[in-house]
Amino acid sequence: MTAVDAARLQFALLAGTHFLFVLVTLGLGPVVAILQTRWALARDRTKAATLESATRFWGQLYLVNYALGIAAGIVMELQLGLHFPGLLDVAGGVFGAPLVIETMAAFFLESTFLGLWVFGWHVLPRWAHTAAFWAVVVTGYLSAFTVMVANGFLRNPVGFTMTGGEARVTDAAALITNPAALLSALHVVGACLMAGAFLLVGVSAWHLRRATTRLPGVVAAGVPGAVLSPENDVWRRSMRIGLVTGTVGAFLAIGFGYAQFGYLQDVPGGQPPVVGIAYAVMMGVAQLAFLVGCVLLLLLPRQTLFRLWTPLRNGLFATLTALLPVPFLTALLGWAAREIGRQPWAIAGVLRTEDAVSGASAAAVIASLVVLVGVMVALAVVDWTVMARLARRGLTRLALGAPPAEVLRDVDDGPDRGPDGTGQTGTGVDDRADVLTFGGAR
Amino acid sequence: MPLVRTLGGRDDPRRRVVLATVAPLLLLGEVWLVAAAGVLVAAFGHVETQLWSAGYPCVVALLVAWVVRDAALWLRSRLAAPGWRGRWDVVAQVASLALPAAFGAIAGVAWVQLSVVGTQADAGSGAAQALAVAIPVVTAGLGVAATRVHGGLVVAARAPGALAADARRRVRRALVPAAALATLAALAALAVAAMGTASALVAAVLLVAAAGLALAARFDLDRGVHRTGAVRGVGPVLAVVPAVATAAVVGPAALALAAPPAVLHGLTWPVLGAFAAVLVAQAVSWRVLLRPLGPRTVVFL
Repeated sequence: MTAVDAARLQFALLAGTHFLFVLVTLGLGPVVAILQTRWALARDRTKAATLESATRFWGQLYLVNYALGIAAGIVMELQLGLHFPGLLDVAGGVFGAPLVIETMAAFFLESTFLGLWVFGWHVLPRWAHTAAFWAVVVTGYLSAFTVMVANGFLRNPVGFTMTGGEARVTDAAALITNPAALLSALHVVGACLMAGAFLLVGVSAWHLRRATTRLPGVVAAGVPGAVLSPENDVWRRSMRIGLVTGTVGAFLAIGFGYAQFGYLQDVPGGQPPVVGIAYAVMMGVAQLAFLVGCVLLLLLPRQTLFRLWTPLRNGLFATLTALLPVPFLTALLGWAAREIGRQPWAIAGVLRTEDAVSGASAAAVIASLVVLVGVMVALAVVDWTVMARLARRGLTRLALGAPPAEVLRDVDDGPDRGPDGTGQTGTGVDDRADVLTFGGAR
Repeated sequence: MPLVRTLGGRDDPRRRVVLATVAPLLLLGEVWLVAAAGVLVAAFGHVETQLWSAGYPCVVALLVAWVVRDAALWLRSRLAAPGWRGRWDVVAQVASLALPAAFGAIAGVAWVQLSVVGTQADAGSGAAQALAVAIPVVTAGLGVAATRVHGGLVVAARAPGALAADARRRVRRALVPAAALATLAALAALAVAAMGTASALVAAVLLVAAAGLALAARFDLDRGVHRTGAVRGVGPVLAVVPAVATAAVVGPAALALAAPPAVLHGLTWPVLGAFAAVLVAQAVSWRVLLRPLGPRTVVFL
């Protein structure tokens, strides 16, 4: 493997990992924001409690996903300078601008507002707390758009001139309205909404399918009582929201997917066959998701979907849960098609990939590939395991938005706790009560 | 972060209280580093490519430590099994030592690469080659010592009584090594200045001042007083001075390598506008979140 191959493979694997987290961040974000807004506006006490639970449950999954998304993003950000310095040397003047706006404006604000949302839960007034999360969503989408502007320039370079071997912006508006940025960004939004929707629907279906088995008497009677019971309201609502956003997302992904063929055909050089296969798979998945989404939406009025004949309903819900990874795999395929389709160019028609890589030896790049990709993939797998456990646990023991005393009690009894259940303190001083009530015991 | 285990002991709720004192600051502080990296890409692309090729292993170590520490912090409390949490705490402790060390080492590499030392070391000067090795080691050590003092004082300022006293005891022990390393770094800066990069003199003065402040803080803590200016100020000063000193050493060379004026001009308004928005958001957040711990404190990490 040459240094160029190793650098490309490393970037592809890290970008792919990062993108899987981005899908959930952008797909689930608006849903959590809408849930929280409806919670803030709810007059009816029971409805407010349901919406609060839903906000906290999906918000917690969003956070566990976001934590690794940031980490993967940091690794990505430094990849350009580490392995593709030629890209910065030649086009730093053009796509440095969207990237600096991405980090300064979008990401910086996004993380600040997210910190405010998590750690200001019991401090901020409800409206300000809700606004903080909307700010997270808006800045998150802005962040994604600026990245697509940078990436769109690579695919379809516009609005620049070359002087002395370096690219200069001549038309910032052309850079932003570049179809490879604008249409692709909307296509990606569709894919993200679809991914978030599959998560919502898959997890809700899992809980609703289990709800029937909890009450054997009701199942024997063939009545969908458990599914329609008030405590499963959260899952029914989540599934409804997921079906709506997923169908809208599939529609966007299809529409802006076809719209992109306009500029895709102008790229110099032919396309390898894998790109064509990826296009076919994406079209198949999105169109099928759209059709099935429309059918399921027709079953929503009068809760028909939840009153279906039990074996049919269970089969349907099991299928919906099993299909959860599909949009994620499809999106990875889309990303691969995008990047492979541009080769051998790093910037189409301007800079070849082999001229953009650093002078680092193949051994050094392979070593960093093994270390960084190994660490990132291991952490990603652990993160998804935690998300799966939290998704299965449902609404019990939610840490997000719980009173601090309740959160501090949430630990399984382990072997290192003393017979009195208080465990050992670091200093041996009996100050535990004082510490755990934040000094309030004095 | 290493303090979570040492201060928290083996009692999980205690550890989580230590985490709760620093948790809101982590996300708010970390984004500054990411933003700095973004500015580096846009305005100082050539500096970045030069630094990264010289300090390749340090950059990889920085990334690994950063990613692993973030994961450890966010994931440790998500599941309730004591084994799970204990293992993540060990991971967080190791990664939190490696992170400032790698950061300091990269700053040291910048001192070497973007000053006269790098060119003289390439020319075969023995003294310059020795400095090229010594500076990253000293700055890495300084990074660890400085973050230890700063972190300890943050816990001491926000945590309930007993924990705060314990944190201050540990800060007291870390102050002398921090002062010693700051002095060593100042000597290195003097050497850089003597070799011909005059701006390193500023760094030397700042580092000596930081070392003096660290010793003053130690003196105050030995007397048993902790509400003095020296103790309050030493954490932020030790955190900021190495960064400012690095800027002083590498400033002239970095500016020479900066993007051309046309590019920087194009960046001015977007960056300034973004910066204003960021400052407002950050000011509000720090105000809202930096209250003493109480029943409305959020425990999430």
